[in-house]
Amino acid sequence: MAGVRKILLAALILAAALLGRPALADGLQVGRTAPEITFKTLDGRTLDTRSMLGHVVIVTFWATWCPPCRAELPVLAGYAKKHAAQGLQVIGLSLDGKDSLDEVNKLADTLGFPVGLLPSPWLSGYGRIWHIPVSFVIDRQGRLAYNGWDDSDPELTAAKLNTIVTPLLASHR
Amino acid sequence: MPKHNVVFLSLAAILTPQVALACATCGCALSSDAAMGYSANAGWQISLQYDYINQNQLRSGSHAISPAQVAAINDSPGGDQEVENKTLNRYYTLGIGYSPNTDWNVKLLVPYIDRSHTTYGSSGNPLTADELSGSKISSLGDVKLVGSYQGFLPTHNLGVQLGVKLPTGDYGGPDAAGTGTVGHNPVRFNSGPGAGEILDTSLQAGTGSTDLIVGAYYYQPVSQNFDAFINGQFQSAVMHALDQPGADFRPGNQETVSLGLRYEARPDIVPQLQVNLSHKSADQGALADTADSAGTVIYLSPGVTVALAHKTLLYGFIQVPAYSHLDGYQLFPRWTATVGVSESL
Repeated sequence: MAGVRKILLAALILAAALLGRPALADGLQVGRTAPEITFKTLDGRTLDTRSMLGHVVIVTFWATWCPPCRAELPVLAGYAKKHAAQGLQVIGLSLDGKDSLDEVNKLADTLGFPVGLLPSPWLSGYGRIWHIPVSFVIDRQGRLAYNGWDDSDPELTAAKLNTIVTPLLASHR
Repeated sequence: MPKHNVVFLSLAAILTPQVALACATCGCALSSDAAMGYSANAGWQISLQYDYINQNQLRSGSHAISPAQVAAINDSPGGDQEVENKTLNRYYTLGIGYSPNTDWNVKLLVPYIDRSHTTYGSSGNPLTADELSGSKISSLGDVKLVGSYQGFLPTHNLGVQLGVKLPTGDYGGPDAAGTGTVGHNPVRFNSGPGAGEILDTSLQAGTGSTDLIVGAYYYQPVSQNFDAFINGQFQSAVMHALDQPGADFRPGNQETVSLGLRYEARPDIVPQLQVNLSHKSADQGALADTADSAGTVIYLSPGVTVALAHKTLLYGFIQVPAYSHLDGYQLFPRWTATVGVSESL
């Protein structure tokens, strides 16, 4: 049994050593600078959230196979259209695979805001996107204003958008 | 409002059914599927896995037993109990898989068996080194072909497996008269007092049987940094070439269930802990050691999978028996090790 304990201990030490610097979302705090997201849109443009300083940015993660996401997206699209003049920018990042690209394109065409495919569920600074829908809101100064990981009911409804985002849009650009 | 878990894994590359080779109740229960992650990617995959299983401890029931205690059976009038000494197994398994799309996968597993075995035969006490007979196997084992379907859910995290194990490895034993052999090129002892005798049928490279394999798996994130998984596989011989009266052999059915957690905080290094429950029924037939081939084992298996490159994975595991209940007297490993590498093409 002593040998067994040594093997298990060695394995645990090895695992701990290998963990190194995990891509956790621990640094994601409301009021602090939001981690930058760079992505390629479906039409081939490269966008990044850092270049959107001065805008209020909603980043939402979704997939075509996720019914709550599909219920949320039209709400976001309507809200984005209504508040575009106030400097609102919505970004949709899909977790669909490339084999679902046609369906993603079809849905994206109805939204009116930029959409990209997330190549991996791991996003630096945001951790692993392990459930959807989940969204994050960044204020005009580039600070995180809403952390979807902290919300037990993370779908963005019209009421929630009015509570979280509308006050940010009222602030000066 | 329901949240939908995201279940695709960047480390996922390949589907490999659990390796379960002819080695009594000794091990081989590690889930390579979970080690590498379940794949939702189309294309070819190739893998190579090395298993090290050193069966150097005699056990009976749930306890270790000394060779002298087993040999004492032979000291009694009419006693006839084999006292095995050691079986060292090294398996090299080549895997070639193809996924035409995200729903289907088919995988060919080709094992090469390197096995050395020593036994005191039915010697009594005191056991001496000159009573040891030895054998050595280095040859192809039984090939497996397993298909998987995981199109039940859009997230592809529920799958079923159906496969077959073919009698490609050499197998056999003595014929009913004891003067000839049955099977295909069975290996003989090459040293000691038993030199020239045919090695036990259960220790040959193959079993001579065609086995049906059915399995299922499910996994999903349970928190931002952890995935949980469970899989099970059942293997049963449906045809056996060793079917002659007095010289027949059918390997016992095997059931394996693995469950565990994968730490997914970063995509390139994924530590995980598996619990592997394996049960094997007794081998049957005149060439079987029916009394000494059944058992139930639970292994604790810590390991890690590392992405060496975008589509290249390296994984390593140690299996430590946490519980075992073995019928009769069986050689058993104190630990086993598995390393493997896989590449998605």
